[in-house]
Amino acid sequence: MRHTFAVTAAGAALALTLAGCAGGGSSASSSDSGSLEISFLTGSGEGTGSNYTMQKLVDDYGNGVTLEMEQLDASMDQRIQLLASQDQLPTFFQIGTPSQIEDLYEAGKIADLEPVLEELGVLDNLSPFSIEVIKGLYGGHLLGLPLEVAVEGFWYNKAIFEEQGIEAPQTWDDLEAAAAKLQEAGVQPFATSGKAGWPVTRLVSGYIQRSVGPDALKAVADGDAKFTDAEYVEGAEKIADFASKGWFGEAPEALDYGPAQDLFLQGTAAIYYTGSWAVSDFNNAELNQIGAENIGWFPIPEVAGGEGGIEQTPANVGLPMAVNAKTLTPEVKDFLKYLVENYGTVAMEDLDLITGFTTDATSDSPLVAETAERIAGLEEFIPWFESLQSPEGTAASQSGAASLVSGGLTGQQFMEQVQAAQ
Amino acid sequence: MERVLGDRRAILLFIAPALLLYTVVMLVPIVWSTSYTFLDGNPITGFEWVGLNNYATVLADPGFWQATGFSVRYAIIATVLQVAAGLGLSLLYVFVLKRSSALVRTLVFFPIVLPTAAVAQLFVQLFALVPQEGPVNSLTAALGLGTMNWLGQPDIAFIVLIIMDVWRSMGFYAVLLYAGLVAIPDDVLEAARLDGAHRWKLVRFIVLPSILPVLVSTVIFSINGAIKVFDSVFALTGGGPNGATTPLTLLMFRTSFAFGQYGEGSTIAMTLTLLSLVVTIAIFRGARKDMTV
Repeated sequence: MRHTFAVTAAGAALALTLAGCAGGGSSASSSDSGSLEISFLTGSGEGTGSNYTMQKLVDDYGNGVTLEMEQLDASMDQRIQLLASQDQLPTFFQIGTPSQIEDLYEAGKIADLEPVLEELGVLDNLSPFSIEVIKGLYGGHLLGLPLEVAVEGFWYNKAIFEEQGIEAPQTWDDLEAAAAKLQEAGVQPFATSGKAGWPVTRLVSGYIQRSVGPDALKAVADGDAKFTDAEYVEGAEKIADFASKGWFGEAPEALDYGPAQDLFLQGTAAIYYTGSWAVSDFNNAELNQIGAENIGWFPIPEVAGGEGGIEQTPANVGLPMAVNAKTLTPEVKDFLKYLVENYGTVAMEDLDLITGFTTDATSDSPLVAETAERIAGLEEFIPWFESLQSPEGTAASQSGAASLVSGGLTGQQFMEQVQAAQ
Repeated sequence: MERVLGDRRAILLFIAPALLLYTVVMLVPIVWSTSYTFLDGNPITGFEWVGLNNYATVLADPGFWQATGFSVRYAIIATVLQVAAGLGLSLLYVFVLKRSSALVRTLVFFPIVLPTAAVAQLFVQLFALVPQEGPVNSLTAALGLGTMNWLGQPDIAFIVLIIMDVWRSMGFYAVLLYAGLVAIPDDVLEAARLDGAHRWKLVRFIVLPSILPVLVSTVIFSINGAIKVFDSVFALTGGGPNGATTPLTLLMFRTSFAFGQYGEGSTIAMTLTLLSLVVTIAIFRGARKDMTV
């Protein structure tokens, strides 16, 4: 009696374990009934960005297509690498790191979308600007779709500027003068997150690209220049200087991205460098306590005697959407066609989101309309500090950035650390 | 009975399932990982043979030595403090609190049950500076000592990390050592007291030798956990101001999965394994002097 009970218990336990093992993993599949299941890795939170838009598109497309969506977080690089190693990449997925995108393409795991979109006849639905940005970042191939397009610059609190009698800076010297004036008046000049790292390195690369020229970062990637060259170190030293003067407030190395934005939107800090993806937060009355109409924009000012011009704007396509080459069946291609034709409209109409897809829809929000106009009028885009670096370089840059603004590293030491990781 | 247990084939049959499971789960990955140390690449880009190149690269990397130094320093300091705190608490339970120690024991034990990430977040908020001052900074400001970014200085971040881990685990080691202490026969303690041994002499000459086996197990437990620390550090400082509080485990994780270099990552793992091996052998050698181990 006890013997049979023990055997049954062991058998049940074994069965449960096996059932648990079989349940894992996700992949695109056409089930036996003929309906298509699209799997998607989204970088957006619920109800926002691609998370919302993809679901809406699938719902509107109908034809029995279902969507299995998973949300990525900060460890997206690792997740994608894991899925790629198991050959279980989803049909579509958002991806951030350029070097990882190129690795996946070389391993034949994602598709070059230019021939695919041309075959489907929808290549014209992508704005030429976003195609240029994507190809420029990913080795000359269209390896992702521009689910978002953003330009970066300095957003400022118009009321504070008026109060202090400051005008939007035209040159870098004007910017420094404005910051000094604000600091004297007791207003924190900049809201910069040292903890997140990249808000600091954006300022460094912004200065370098105005001083050395728009190809400054490409020169390093090609091996024609080094981050430790004097003109590059100057950029890091400038930003370290800003921090030591207290222009980033107290302990910027401990300030995270969200709290930094809050400092700006609550009227504590006057100037906030970020990309136009923040406009949706600017339009959110709960977050924005200074009012959307109170927010102005100026581009990275020119550096006296520098090679860069004010019309060169840092731009990116957020987290582009890659397409799994192995699951690109005719049914998936049909859905892809629908997606390319309609994504831009849905995103703009429902979310006020600017994408790289052409659309006739416009936004009621002045900030969004202003940004869309700015993007449409862009002549030349410049990349961000880590864009052409390896993951090691990115890690060294972002962890070093916090120490750059805390005083732990000098500009020279920071650049040495970044160069050593290249 | 003896015929069955004495038969070699029977023995093999009995241990086969467990041995198979152990081989698959423990030994195969170890061999696999060792083979990775001679390769370069990752599952996306494929692997290629590089011989001892990974070892050369890793041993020449200053970041590796910084991480090793941190791991060793942390392991020694954390173990010493955790076991000392545990020992102190257990002596308190047995000699001072006696019967009423149950409540205190439970309360002090409680933090080990909490998830490490939750405890780390607690400490991050405790020592926060911007955008809101945390309790610690408020306290130092009230005392006129000013405020500072505790987790932004490498040495201070190390101290906070140690404090967090000791606070978290001292209750656990206290309970372990308490179990060893209550096993000491009362008459031995009585006899020692009659002979004139009090407090410190009692502890040093009677109590410690009696609980030596338990003490050694506790030290092994603690050092093993401390050398392989990952979640505490990752959740508290993420590797610290510019990599200053990065242990070997975090370095290995980053190299393999963030940088996509499985070869180098496996090599770092191999060095961590050898370090653990050296430490364990050292402890067992030291403990073997006492025949009861």
